[in-house]
Amino acid sequence: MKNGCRHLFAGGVFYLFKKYKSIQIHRKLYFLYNNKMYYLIKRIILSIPILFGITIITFFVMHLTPGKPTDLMTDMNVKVTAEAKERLQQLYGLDKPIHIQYFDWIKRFVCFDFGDSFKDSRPARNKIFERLPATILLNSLSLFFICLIAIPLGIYSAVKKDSFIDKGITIILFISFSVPSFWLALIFMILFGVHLGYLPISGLYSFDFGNMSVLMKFFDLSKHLVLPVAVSVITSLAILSRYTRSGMLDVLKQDYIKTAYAKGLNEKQVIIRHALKNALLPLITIIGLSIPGLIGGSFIFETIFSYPGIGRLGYEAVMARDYPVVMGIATLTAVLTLLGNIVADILYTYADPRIKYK
Amino acid sequence: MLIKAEHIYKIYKTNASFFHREKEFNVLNDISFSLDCGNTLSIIGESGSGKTTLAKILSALIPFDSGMLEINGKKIQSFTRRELSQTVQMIFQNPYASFNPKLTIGVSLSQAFDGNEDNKETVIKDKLFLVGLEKNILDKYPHQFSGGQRQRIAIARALLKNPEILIADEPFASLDAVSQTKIMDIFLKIKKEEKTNIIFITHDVAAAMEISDKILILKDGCVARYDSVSNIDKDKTDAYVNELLAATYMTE
Repeated sequence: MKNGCRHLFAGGVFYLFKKYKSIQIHRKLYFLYNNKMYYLIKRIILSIPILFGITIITFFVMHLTPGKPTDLMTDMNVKVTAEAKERLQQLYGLDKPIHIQYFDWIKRFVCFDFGDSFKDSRPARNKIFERLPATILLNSLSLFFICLIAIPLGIYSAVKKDSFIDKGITIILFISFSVPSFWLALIFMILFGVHLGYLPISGLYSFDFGNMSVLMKFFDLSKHLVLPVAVSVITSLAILSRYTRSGMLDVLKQDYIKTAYAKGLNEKQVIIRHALKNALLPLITIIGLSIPGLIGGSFIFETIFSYPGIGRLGYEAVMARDYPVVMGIATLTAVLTLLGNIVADILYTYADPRIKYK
Repeated sequence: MLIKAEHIYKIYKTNASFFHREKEFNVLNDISFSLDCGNTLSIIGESGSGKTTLAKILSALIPFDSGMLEINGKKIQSFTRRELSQTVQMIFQNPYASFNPKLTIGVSLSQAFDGNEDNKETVIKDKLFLVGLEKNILDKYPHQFSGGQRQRIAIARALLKNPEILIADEPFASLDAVSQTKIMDIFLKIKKEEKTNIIFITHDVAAAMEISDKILILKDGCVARYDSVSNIDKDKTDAYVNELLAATYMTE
């Protein structure tokens, strides 16, 4: 009897414990389902196959290009025999079938190891992360100035639609958009660097950067950044500005703008409080998609300005058929593009109360 | 005299482009009418007859090209935006587009309120009650309401300024029959209780006959008839007016 009671009590406790546990689990699932976290997790999981697709295409396209990484090391050296070439290919694993090479790469990639550079045998990951701060600095400054100039220009153009100033802004933006960045970079280098001598034309620091005071370091860094940032900003202004203008024009036609005027608000209040917030919504996508650009860098003007960023590293790696570095940069850019998309989608829910994700 | 409009003309111009010359459309031609205090005027006509343009001119949302428009004996051009908002308020055709989608109803209504801050909550509550809504809607966004509810909120928003003139631009256009009846009742209530002068723009001649004292019939931007409801009802000599009335009876 005593034992029976004990069993009954233990059974009851076990039942209550299980019930309590299941309530806890349900609560957690409910929280996840009703939260943006659920959407975020779903999107991240769905991004994994896309990422693998991107790596497969990049890997195979890269291997289809003519020439092998070992050619650069061996072709110019007449003493290298065919056996030596083969041994070198075996060393880098280039003799294996392409799909085996891909699986080897994937195995390493899962552990965040992009392999060693063929050029100097240093880990590709280290080479990429060394160049990362310079590229982030350049591109975030560019993005900041692009937003600072393009958005007000777009707003002004829309508010003063068809005026002389609007037409002037449109013409200038189309010219800046049409100018090739490498040409503008070269013109600026000749003008400000060679003829006028105001600004340095390459690199990120001067030779004596290490001996400078903090203020001088800042000044030196700024001087080196002026030309690359200016070229980047001038050639990229048009897109954001035209998007802002067309977004504003759409919003300014809406009845709620007329309602705002009817409420007695002045033009400044109507534009800032009512029009701008709605017109800037599509810009979230553009800014979200420019996140990978922050890291990916620009291959062209980083190379022209000899800027020690990811863009120049990528260019050098492509030229040298340095597969691990090229794959590392491509994968990093792909991850950031996918993340940029997710961030833009999440930001939409905060910016627009009409949007809800499930 | 509350409103006096004489020889109002409005021309819309299309933009010239490489392929097209600038074109001009006479939207309003020589429009003259007046509205006395306590009266309700209906502006009726077919689509494209210039009703909404005239409404926008009356609420100074767009300028007119020539003519004279006075409210309370003062030229409309000499009103400040704030003065005008306290005199004329407009309710738009599309209830889905007349609220900023990013602002809660509470914020939208607060922006429209002009009086003493201490009374704000009470006044907003009263106006919402007048249109048959509760105070608990203030934290919600416009997309969370039906078309009929939004139109009621739009009416409450317009009444918050206690305007002398309320212009309702086809307030039933995108509503179902039940919502139309409810909104019509609200207008009749406003006319009776708030003593607001209403300018009612509609396709619906029957509704116009029910609510108005005077009717202005527009055709292709010109005044086809401007008379009291009783005279229009009695005098059936005008072919276009008869056509409009016949169209109403057919729909009934």
